[in-house]
Amino acid sequence: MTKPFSFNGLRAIYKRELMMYFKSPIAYILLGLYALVSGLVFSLYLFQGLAMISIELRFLQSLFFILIPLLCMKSFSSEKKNGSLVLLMTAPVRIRDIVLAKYLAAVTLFVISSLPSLLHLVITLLLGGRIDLQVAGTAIAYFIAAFAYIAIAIFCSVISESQLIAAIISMLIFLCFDVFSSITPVLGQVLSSALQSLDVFGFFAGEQQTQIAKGIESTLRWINPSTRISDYARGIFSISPIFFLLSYIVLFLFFTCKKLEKQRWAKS
Amino acid sequence: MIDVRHLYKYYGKHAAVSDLSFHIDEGEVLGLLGPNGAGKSTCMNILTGFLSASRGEVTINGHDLLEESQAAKACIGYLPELPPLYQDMTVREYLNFVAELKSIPKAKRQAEISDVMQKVKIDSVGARLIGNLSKGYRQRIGIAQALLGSPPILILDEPTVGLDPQQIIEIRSLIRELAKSHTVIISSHILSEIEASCERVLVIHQGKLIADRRIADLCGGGAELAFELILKRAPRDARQELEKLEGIAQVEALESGESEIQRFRVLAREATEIREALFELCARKNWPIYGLRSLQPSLEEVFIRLTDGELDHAGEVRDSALEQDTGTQSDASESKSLDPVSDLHEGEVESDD
Repeated sequence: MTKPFSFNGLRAIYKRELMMYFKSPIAYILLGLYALVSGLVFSLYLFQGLAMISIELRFLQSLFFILIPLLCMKSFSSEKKNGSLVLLMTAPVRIRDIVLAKYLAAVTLFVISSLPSLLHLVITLLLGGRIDLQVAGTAIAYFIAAFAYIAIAIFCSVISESQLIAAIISMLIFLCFDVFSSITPVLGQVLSSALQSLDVFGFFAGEQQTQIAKGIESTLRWINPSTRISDYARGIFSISPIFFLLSYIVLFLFFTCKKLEKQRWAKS
Repeated sequence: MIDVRHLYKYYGKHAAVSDLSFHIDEGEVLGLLGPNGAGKSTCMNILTGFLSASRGEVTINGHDLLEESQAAKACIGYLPELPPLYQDMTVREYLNFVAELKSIPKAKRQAEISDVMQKVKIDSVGARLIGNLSKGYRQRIGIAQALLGSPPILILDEPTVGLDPQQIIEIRSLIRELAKSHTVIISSHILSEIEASCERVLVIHQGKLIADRRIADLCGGGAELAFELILKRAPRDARQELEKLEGIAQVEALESGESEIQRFRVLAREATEIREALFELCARKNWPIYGLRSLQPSLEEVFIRLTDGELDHAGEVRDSALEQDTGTQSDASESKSLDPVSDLHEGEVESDD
C-alpha cells in the first residue's frame, strides 16, 4: 500500500496544518494586524506622494520577531500536548516528511500574510511607480530571511511542549538577531572578560582583549541571517547570502528531524 | 506475523522492558496483562515504531521494524492509551486526514471511511467536532483511525479504560468482531477484559515476561479441579464417604459459620469430572447440597501470585494454587466474572499511569 517515495503523508499534514490554522480566530487576528500595519506604513508614505515598498518591507521585517514565533509556535508543541504526535510517528510517513510539511505550511502562511504587500506593489505600479532593483532586493531579502527565521521557529516548537515557551525562545533568538549590531560589542566584551577571568589562555594584553571581542562580534554578525542578506536591500546581489540562508534552513530542519528521532530513543 | 526477540528498553539505568521475546501468529488474539508501569505500553510503543528499543529485534509481517519501518508500520493499526485526536477537527475531517496519511487511494477513501464509521458506530457524529464528543465516542474514533487501511494487525492499548459498562460491552463485541479478520493485541490491567477477548495472554511484570500461556492453561487446565461443596446436616463421616468416590483425590473439611452447614474442599484427580458423582452420592445419602462451586483459580488470582513472585519464572503454575490455606483460598477464588458491573469495580481501583 505504501509506495517507497509517496508524498501522501507530506501532503496530508501540510493540508491539515493550513486548514486548522484558519479555523482558529488567532490566525485572522494575526493576519489582520499584520495587514493593518503594512497598510499603515504604505499609506503614510503614499499620503506624502511616495510609494516606499522597500521601507514597508524593512519595517515588516523588524516585526518578524513577533509574527514568526506566533505563526510557528503551535507547530509541534500542540502535537505533543495533544498526544497526536504518536499518530504521525506511527503512520507510514518519514520524519523528514512531517518536518517538511509543517515547515512548508508555515511558509505558506507567511506568504499569505504578506499578500497585502503584494497589493501595495500593484497599487504602486498602477499609480505609475517603478520597481527598481532596491525594491526587488528588499523583497527577496524579506522573504528569504523569513524562511530562515521560520526554520528556527519550527525547531523551537519541537523542543518544548508548551506553545508559550516555544514562542518565547524563538522571540528571544530573533530579538538577538535584530539588536545584534548594538549588543555585539557588549557581548564580545563580556565574553572575553569571562575568558580572562577563567584564565583559559593565560593573561591577556589589552589589545588581545579587544581583538577577541572583535572576533566574537564578527562571529555573531556572521551567524545573523538578517545582516547576511542586508546587502540585497541595497540592491547589491550576490549568491553567497542565498546559500548561507538555505543552509540555515536545512540545518534547523535537520535539527528538528533529529530532535524528533531522539524522542524515539528516550522517554516520550 | 509478529516476532519479538530479546527486546530491551532502558531509560537511563532503569529497564522498562527487559528481555522480552515472543511470537504472534496470524489471526491470534493476544492479551498483554500487567500492572500499571509494567511495560505494556512501552512494548506497544516499540512495536508500532513510536519508541525505539535499546536492544533486540522486531519483525512485523516479515519486515524488520528498523530496516523497513514504513512497510512495517503500514501493517499496524494502533490505538494508543490516549487516542491521538485533534480536538478542533470534525470526525470526518480527522478520518480523512488519517486516510490520506496512510496513503489510501483517493477513490477508495470515502467508501472506506464510511465503512469504518459504520463498523464502530460513529456515523451519526461525522460532522461534530471531536472536542465536543464524549470519551466513549473518542475511544471509538481512535479505533476507527486504527482500522483505516485495513491493517492486518491491530494493537489496542487499554481500549475500554474510562468507558461506562454499556460502552465496554459494545467495544468488547466490536473487538471480538474484529478478531475474526485481524490479528489483535490488547493490553489491559483489567483481567476480565483480557479473559473476555483473548485466547492467549502474556503477563508482564516490571518489564519482564513472566508468563506466556493460553488463558485456559494459566487458570489450571480444561478440567475443573477444585470445588467447594456446601452440605446441610451431613454426618461426621461425610468427608470419608466423599473421599471414597472414584475420581476424588482429597476432601478437606472447611470451617463453616453455621452449625448445620458443612463446607468441604473437594479435590478431583486430574482430568476427571466429579460433579455428577458428587451429586449422586449426596442424593443417595440425603445430604442437601447448598452449594457446589468451582475453586479453580481465576486469572486474577494467578496474576496476583505471578506478580508476587510465587510462581517461578518459567511460567509454570505451581500446585500451590490447590494446596493453599483453606482460609485464603475460599476468599480469593471467585468464579470468573464477566459481569460488566464487576469490571467497573475493577476499573475504579485503577490509577493513572
